[in-house]
Amino acid sequence: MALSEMTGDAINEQRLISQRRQQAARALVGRYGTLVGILVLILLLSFLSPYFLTLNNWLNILTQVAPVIIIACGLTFAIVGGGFDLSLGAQASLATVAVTVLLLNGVHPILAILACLAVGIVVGTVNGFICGTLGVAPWVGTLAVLFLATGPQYIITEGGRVQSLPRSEYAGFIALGQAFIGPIPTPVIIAGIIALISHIFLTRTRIGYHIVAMGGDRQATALAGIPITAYVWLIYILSGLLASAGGVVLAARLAGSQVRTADAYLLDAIAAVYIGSTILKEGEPHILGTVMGTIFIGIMSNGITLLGVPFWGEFLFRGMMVFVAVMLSGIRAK
Amino acid sequence: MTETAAPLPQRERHRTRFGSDILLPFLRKWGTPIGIMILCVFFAAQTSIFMRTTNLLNIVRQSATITLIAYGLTFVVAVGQFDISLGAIAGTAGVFGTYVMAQGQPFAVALLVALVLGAALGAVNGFAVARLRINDFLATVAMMFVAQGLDILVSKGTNVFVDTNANPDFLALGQANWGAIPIAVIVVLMVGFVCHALLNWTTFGHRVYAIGENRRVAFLSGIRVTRYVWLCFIIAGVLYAVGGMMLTARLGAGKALAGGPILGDAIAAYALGVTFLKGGKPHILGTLVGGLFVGIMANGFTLLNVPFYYQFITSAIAIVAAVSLSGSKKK
Repeated sequence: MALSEMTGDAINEQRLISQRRQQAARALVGRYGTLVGILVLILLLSFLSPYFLTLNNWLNILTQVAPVIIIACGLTFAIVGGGFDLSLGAQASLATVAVTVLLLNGVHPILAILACLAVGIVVGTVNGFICGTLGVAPWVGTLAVLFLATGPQYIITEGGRVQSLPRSEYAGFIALGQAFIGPIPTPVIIAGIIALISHIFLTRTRIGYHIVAMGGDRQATALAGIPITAYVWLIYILSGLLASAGGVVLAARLAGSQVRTADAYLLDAIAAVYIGSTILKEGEPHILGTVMGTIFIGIMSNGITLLGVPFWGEFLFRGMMVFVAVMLSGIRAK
Repeated sequence: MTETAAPLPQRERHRTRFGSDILLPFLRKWGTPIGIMILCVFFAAQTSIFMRTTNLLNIVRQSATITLIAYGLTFVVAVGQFDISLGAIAGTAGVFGTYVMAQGQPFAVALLVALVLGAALGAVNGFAVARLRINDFLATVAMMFVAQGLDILVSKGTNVFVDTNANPDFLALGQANWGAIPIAVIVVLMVGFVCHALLNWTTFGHRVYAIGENRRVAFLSGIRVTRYVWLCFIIAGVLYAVGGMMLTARLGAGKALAGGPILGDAIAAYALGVTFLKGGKPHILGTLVGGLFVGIMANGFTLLNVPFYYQFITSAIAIVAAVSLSGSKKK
């Protein structure tokens, strides 16, 4: 204190300038650091494996991550709105199981898909009720819904039986996950469209602004006259809807389902959103970042598979990803 | 600058209402024991087997695993954090323990390995949460998957069989009685007593609760917050490992990913316990009662031939009901 009183304005100014420079450098690293990391990884993998840089492999990666992109968009809504959704993976699994069970019972594919999306909305509403109206912390509330969405999967499959869709009968539905439009796989196109709509919704509409505002400062938003509880419902309904959509695409890609198939996608989605929040922005989740983060994780898993790491390694890898992603993003507060 | 903000609305004169002023606090305090009684009456009316001595012993045995793991969670929540990796750590520790026995080592070594593993994974949790200051839910979700990876690595995705003749102590932990009382129950009560003493009668416990109550104030009053958070995660890891060994002892073998289904049960046990007596404060006695509740429910469901997966739904309802009743909504 005494020292700074003794020093003149000039020194203070200089200190300020160097501080600003430091900040600018940090911002630069924060914004573009992850992108550079991704490029380095791509270079590294293309040296390590000759298959990595082929077009087929890239389309393969994109097809693999398409459901995750959709689910991660849902998580982005929840996080941007100041909540969290631990039930996403379970909701996606529920949709995967539900759509195959409905199809196998002879329901028209369009109706089956709509029914699954409706289930997503209902489960999202339950989340909204618990976290918005009852005011339970989102971590605990959505954790409970995780179990709530797991039980019915076993019930409708009579104890967890594997469902598989014969290719001949359900070609139309399976096309959602396995066909191509031009050179691009359908799931990639679906994921792209959903991500685009989510991006526009979040950055160009009034409701999107309100969601961002609520995530920034809930109390201030409430004082500005925005119905907070309704918006909490909305973010969970959106995330539930997108999780279910992701689940449906996954079912189409797998041409079948198994209970809890998509549970582990929760981790990929979390890692994607947190990595994404460091791309082009400093710790703010956004859709574009989420998409790039998901692709990054897809590249990593693909690389791991190409390099021949066993099954348990994937689990370790997924866990590590979340640690690293959250540390990178610096969103440390709750 | 405006001088004052808009005047706050005057609060209405308080009238005593039956619902919010009498019934709700009563339910908060006594909801879990009342629930236990209702469950007992219901199941006893449904099947005559329920009230038999052998079945009652079975219930307490079943509760033992869940309660031990929920003890660990109680420590973590007392210090103001949460832990989702509990089931996975318990399962992994159990698998490691049985693996060591399958390699021909005695039970004592296996138990030690399991406890050390639990402590190590707990320490990683503590490092991530206390030192790196990663959000507790995210860090422990990540740990859940890391632990599952280790689990699959050792168990190869199947069962680890133990030569039970060579390790009679191992089976005794889960299945034998001491006099009329199952050894599992004695372990739960003894560990519970130690935990209760640690949390209530020592400086350590008071500081843990102080940190859980208000981390910043605790820090400013000179408590080494980081160290205590870390310690609580390590203690929790050890308790999960004890629970995991108990689980494998009951099954008589290590089972891949056996910890998965425990997650919901243990959290439900803890959440039901939080409401008991103290209304919102995690404490060991409450966790014990909550564990009993979950054990009774599981046992009754088994007797009534309700498939296991309905328990996912009942745990979810129990967690939401308990948490929203207890008023500890902001965790």
